[in-house]
Amino acid sequence: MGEQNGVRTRRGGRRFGVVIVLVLVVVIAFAVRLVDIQIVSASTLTQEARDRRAFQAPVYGTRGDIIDRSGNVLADSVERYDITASPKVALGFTEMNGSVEAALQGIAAITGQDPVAMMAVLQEDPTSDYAVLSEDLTLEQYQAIDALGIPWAYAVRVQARTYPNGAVAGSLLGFLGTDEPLAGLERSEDACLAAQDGVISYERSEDGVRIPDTEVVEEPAVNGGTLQLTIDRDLQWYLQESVAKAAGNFAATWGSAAVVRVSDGAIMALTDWPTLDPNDFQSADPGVTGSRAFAIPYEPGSIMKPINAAIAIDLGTVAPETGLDAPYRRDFGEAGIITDATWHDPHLTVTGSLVESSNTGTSAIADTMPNEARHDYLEAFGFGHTTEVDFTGESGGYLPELQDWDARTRLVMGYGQAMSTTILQMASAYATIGNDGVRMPLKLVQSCTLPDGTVQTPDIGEPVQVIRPETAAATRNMLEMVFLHNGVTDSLAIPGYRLGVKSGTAEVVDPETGTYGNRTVISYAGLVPVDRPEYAIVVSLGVPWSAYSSNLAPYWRVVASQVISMFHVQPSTGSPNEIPVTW
Amino acid sequence: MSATTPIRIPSGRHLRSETVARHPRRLTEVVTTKRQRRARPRVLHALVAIGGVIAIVGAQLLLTIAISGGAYRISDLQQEQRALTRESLSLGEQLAVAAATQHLANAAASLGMIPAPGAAFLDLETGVAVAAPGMPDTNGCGGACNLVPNALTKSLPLVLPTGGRIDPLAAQSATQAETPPASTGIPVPVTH
Repeated sequence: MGEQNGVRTRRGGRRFGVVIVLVLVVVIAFAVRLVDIQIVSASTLTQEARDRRAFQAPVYGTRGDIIDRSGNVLADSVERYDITASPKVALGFTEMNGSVEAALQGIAAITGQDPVAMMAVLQEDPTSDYAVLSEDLTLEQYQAIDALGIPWAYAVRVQARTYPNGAVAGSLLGFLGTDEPLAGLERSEDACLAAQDGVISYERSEDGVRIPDTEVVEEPAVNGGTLQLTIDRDLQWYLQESVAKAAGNFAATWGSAAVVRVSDGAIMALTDWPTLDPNDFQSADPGVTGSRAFAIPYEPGSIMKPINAAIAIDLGTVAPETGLDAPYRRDFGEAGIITDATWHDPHLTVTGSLVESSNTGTSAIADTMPNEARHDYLEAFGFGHTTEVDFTGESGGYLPELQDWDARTRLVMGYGQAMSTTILQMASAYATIGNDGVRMPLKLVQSCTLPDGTVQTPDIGEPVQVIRPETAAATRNMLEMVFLHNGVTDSLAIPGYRLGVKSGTAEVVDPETGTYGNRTVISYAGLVPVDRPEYAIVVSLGVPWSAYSSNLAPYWRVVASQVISMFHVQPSTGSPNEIPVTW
Repeated sequence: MSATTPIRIPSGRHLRSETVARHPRRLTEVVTTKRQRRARPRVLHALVAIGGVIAIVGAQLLLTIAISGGAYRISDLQQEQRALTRESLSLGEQLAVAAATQHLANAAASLGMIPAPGAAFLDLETGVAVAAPGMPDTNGCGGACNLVPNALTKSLPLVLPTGGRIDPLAAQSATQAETPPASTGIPVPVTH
């Protein structure tokens, strides 16, 4: 009995041992597999599982807004909807989906399209799964179509750009093409405005239903920054309306106006006529898709004369009251004969040469200056190179190289011939005179505010002392004498304000003959108010006939009055310091 | 050998009946060892363990159902939030267009407001209003010339408070009737 027990015990012990071993083997196998799944192959398996169920989709960042100095939106990004359809489903399952014609009529009633044309789109390829029925629909239109419950129509969300104020600053804002910005600030400031698209992934069930709470942001979308301009929307609109009126009245081919704040070089308004509405740039004349004010320089004519006089005074070659030999017609020897537009007293002072807008007097002043120093002054005033704005397609105008200054060129440059400038360069030069001779770098972009709140301001360089403060004050004094004694004071006067202005009538070179023809550019440039300058204002019109700049005086006053009212410019104090105009 | 063989105390009913048969007087009584007594609660432990597992599974199931329900709720709310965001963007867009300068100018013109041809300034010393004449209006469009195009405001309806065009003369006379007659000198604002 005891022997049997012993045998049984040994067998039992062996079985137990075998079971234990088997269990251990199984446990170890599981453990190894567990480690393999959880640690060694974990990432691979996770990725594999995610790939089977996960679906990636793009998330679109929003392109930043462009706003004016007060925050009014000039350009913004909006959502639009394209309605696409599956012709195969629409035309192949009419019993189940209902009448295609009725559905298309429902869509057409909302979008204003032709249902027959939409049917033609569907029937173009009846086997296709994709056809675009409508594009760029608003949210309301999309919601109305969605409410129709058409099973074969799908909405695709797209981003679009709108310009709520239409053509206001349109030539500055530019526009976007299908893939990239094509013009204006949209292009030059794309680094600030552009958004970065992101990617999200989420899991879907077998039948394609999105599983809630499975969304993972693989790469976040980054919205674009907000670009704030120095432009004032309301002044910009007023200027555009005024320049358009003036252009209509003069039968002009183009018109521009610029308002620059003297203290910091901020461009408050810069207009072009004709201009484009960026909302509808496709139908715009290709010739007006840019900014003429930046891109197309012109010979400034007599509005250049105060700059010429200022340089001479700063060089010490003349003073405001210096007498000149300035007859109506004068032979300058090698430089040839120079004549004036109107007869005047030949004994003009430097101030008188501005009041009478004498070409001979201005040439006499130019003749006193050494070329090199004068060239340096002109460059320091901002001529011959682009402004700090660095606008897309901006021109720096034309300032002849020193070696090209022949005897006549150096004289006629004094009254704005043989060189060209943009209207903005002229406004900057007048602002320099208004700012005690310190030229402030021009700025059109105030700042770029990134989505995280970071505010970036453009690096536009340092102010430059171009002429001495005394010279600037003397030049302002001469500009006021022009306002008071040029014969059109009544057309320019704004009660309570002392003004400093200069008119300009520049002949335009006929490209066919290479000589000055009948077309003219008439301009008015000035400072408001001249005793304590706050704004430099320049208005120019290109007219296809020989016009007198004095006719433009009321238009300059309208702009100046608006600037005074809008920016609450304080009335002038004191009285003008009279300078003799003849000797 | 037999001396070293451990005494095996038979257990189980079979042995017990045999013992009872052999020893009718029950001189000895088989009792369970401590180990056996300890072994009995294993059933209870098993029941508790299984019950626990069932409870955990049940609880997890309920929790999963609750979380899933919450997830769907979150999903619904997120969709609603997206829809409201779109609605907000759309309304913001409409507001920006309605605030466009061209639309405001047209709305003002439709209300009978005519812009002054030029600026007027008040001389603080004399109280006399002096005007700076405006530019010639050769096309006769006054202040609402619409020379700055805007494709977005073309089809925008003008909202009029009375549902129709206001007669500028009537509006002017109404305004004049409400305005108190000016005394000599500069009108002084009423302050409190």
